[in-house]
Amino acid sequence: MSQQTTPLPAPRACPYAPPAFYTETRESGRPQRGEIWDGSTPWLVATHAQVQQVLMDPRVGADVTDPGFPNTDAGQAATQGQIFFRKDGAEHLPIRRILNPDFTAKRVERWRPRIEELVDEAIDAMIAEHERTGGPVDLVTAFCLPIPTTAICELLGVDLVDSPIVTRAAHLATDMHADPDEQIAAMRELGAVLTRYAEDKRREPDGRLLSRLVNDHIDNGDLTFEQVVRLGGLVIGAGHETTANMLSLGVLALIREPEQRDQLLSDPLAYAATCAEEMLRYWSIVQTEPRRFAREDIEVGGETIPAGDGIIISLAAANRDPAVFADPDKLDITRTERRHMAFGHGVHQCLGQNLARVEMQAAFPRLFQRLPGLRLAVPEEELRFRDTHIVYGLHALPVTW
Amino acid sequence: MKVIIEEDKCCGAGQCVLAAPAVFDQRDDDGVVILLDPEPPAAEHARVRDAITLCPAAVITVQD
Repeated sequence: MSQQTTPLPAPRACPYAPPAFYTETRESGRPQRGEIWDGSTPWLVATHAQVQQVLMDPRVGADVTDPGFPNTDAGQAATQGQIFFRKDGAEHLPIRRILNPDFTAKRVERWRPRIEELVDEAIDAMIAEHERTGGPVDLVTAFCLPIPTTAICELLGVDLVDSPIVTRAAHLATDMHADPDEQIAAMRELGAVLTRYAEDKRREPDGRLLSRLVNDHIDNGDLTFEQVVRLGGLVIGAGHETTANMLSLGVLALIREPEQRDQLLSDPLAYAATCAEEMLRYWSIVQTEPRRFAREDIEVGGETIPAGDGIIISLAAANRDPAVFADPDKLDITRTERRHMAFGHGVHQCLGQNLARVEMQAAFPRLFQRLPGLRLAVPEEELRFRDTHIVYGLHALPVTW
Repeated sequence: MKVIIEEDKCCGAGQCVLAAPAVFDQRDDDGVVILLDPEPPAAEHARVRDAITLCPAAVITVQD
């Protein structure tokens, strides 16, 4: 261990690149220790090969309540201890498989026409707002949030699109500097609303995810009612802020690099998918996760990570590893190398990834097709990035056209 | 090429279906991989190898 340890998460010097400590760790070829908020010194793993190795190693645990787990904050074990994706083995995979049917590649594909409608509705509303006010429009509130929020609420079967409860709960849950009491209160508030919905679905099933959970998986003992409500909250929380931030950052990247935008518009059908994958790789928005711990001694890049030590993964550094991606710091929407790990890797890889893909594939080309003159309404230096959030993004993106 | 899957390990991410839809599908009730074609033609081999690389749970292997 070095004399001085770098604080984790490390700050970014440039909003368009991972923190220097992460890329330096990748270049060194070995995991490096960093220091987190509680004084412990988990390992940072940052090469593509090592990230893949660690996330697939059955000797590496994801249980947030284990003493070895490098917690994000003091409240994490209390607020997330019951969440299936913070568990391993029999406490994880069976629950995931209950949720899987609504997120399979083919099931999500059936949502594509509806998602395309949502994209057009959001653009219509933006245009109306722009005409009414004559001023800039915040793309985050007018476009990036409504599309995934509406999609995930419809998939779940709840009408909470305009509810501040959802946004507040998701926002607080992913802010590393949020007050733990406020986080818990916001999650309780969301839980209360979902409890009422779940009770309604018992009486009137509608075939949507929440209805399926409450009617098909409680009586047979798969889940408790409390678990159903918690899963509903998770699906909403994980299903909208992540994609919303990908949309705002992706649009920003296409505004900053007009030749990439022009390439996309030259053949939107051909490039919609590679553009979405490249944005996922380039931004790698999950900036403080995944976190794990070693259940046994494991060898990673010539270093022994002892049993009980925490591990923090840098997806952003791994996704810019020149061993896998040519010219990795360059945004290239025609790139066909698909081995990015923006959704993580291993059995905990993002459940909603295929929904997120369809949302991005529908949103990026359509926005610029309808508003080809889309540009920033403020100097780029004034943009505020979500540096203290688990999920990177923009607080606002004022645009005009 | 003979494709082998280990259903028990499958987390249902669906990457194999995106990579090689003629060879892989997912079950409706739990998202677990279905092998549509255990001995795919040569034209599918590159896509199957992509699926192996992308599978997050290392569920797929092949024997040549």
